[in-house]
Amino acid sequence: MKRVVGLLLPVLCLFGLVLPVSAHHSFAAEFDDKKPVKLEGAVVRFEFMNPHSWIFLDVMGPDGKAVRWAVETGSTNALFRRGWLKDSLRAGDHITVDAFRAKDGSNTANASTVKLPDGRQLSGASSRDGQ
Amino acid sequence: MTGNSMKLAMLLLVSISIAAQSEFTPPRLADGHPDFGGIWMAASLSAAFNVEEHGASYGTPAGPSVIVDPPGGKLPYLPGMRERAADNDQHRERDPVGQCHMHGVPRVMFPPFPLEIIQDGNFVLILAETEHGVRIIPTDGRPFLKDYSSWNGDSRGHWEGDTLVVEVRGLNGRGWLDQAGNFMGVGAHVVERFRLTGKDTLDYQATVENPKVFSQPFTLRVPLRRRPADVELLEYGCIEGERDAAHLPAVNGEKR
Repeated sequence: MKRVVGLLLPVLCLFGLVLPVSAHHSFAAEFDDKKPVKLEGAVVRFEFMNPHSWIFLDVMGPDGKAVRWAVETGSTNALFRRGWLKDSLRAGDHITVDAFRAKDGSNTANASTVKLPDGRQLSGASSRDGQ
Repeated sequence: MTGNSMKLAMLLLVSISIAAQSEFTPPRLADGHPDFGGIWMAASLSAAFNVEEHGASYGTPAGPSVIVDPPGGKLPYLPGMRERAADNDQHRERDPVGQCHMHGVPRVMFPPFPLEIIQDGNFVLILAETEHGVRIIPTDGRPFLKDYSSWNGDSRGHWEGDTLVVEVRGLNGRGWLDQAGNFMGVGAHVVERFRLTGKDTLDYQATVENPKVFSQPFTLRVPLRRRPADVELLEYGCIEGERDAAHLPAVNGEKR
């Protein structure tokens, strides 16, 4: 499988199917790639905007209390090219986010992928990725 | 294969590749100059991450140096300047682009966003999706603006055969070269060279002279690749929702 992906990637790149990411700021300025986090929760608000779009979601803590997270994704142009629309997420949607935490320890993270309620897994157009 | 026959084979390959390059006849506009029109982007994002050779770090892939001169691929920093770049690398929150400033020349030519080139007989326009940067490059021989200073500076172009040569003055000296903190200072003078090497490949080279930061001029080279026909430039209103600053350690030395 690895081999197939290895062969496929350059081909996809050749046809422009693998899109470049929106690396507005360096990932390293704010986030820590040694601190991956998986967040599952309910969308509070989706701000489809530049230079980065933000997903606010409530993640249920072990004590049964909701913890509010702010998750950064790419710019609107980078997200649009990956299939995102401004109403791709609505308040109450249950989503799963694979992300990396902010260095400052706040409940802030940078999304690699977001799994939508309909099962689609979209790239977060993270400033971490390369082409 | 013996060493000699291997060398011969390599020589043959290189000759074929050079011949193929020189045989390419670019499409031309009515004025006879090559038509660079279209949407372009750096063939690799490597230079956007770091113009020098770099290993994989912070989740970005490893990549080769794009510095083709001096040989060795290292930026010819003056004593003490490489330490400043290394310090920038540890404080990427200082990156002007992270604060929605313009990329500046030459970095604006290889960001992780597409560019559109439009030209007529008097101007070459480079529209950068990032920060909506617009470079208006007159090719009609007019003089430079007097005492001008800005992120992308003041560009004047002329043709040398099928190569567009653009001289850039008036750079404000605040621009970085990449995300890794390599930087330029005041008084930088840049000469760019654009040449079509194939239907969908545009060779971009920039020679930077900046005696306050570098001991000698250096040249970087980044091939640009034409984007598929359905790619259009999109809006990128950078500052509409900036939320990072609150989580950045410091911006220009001051906590916001």
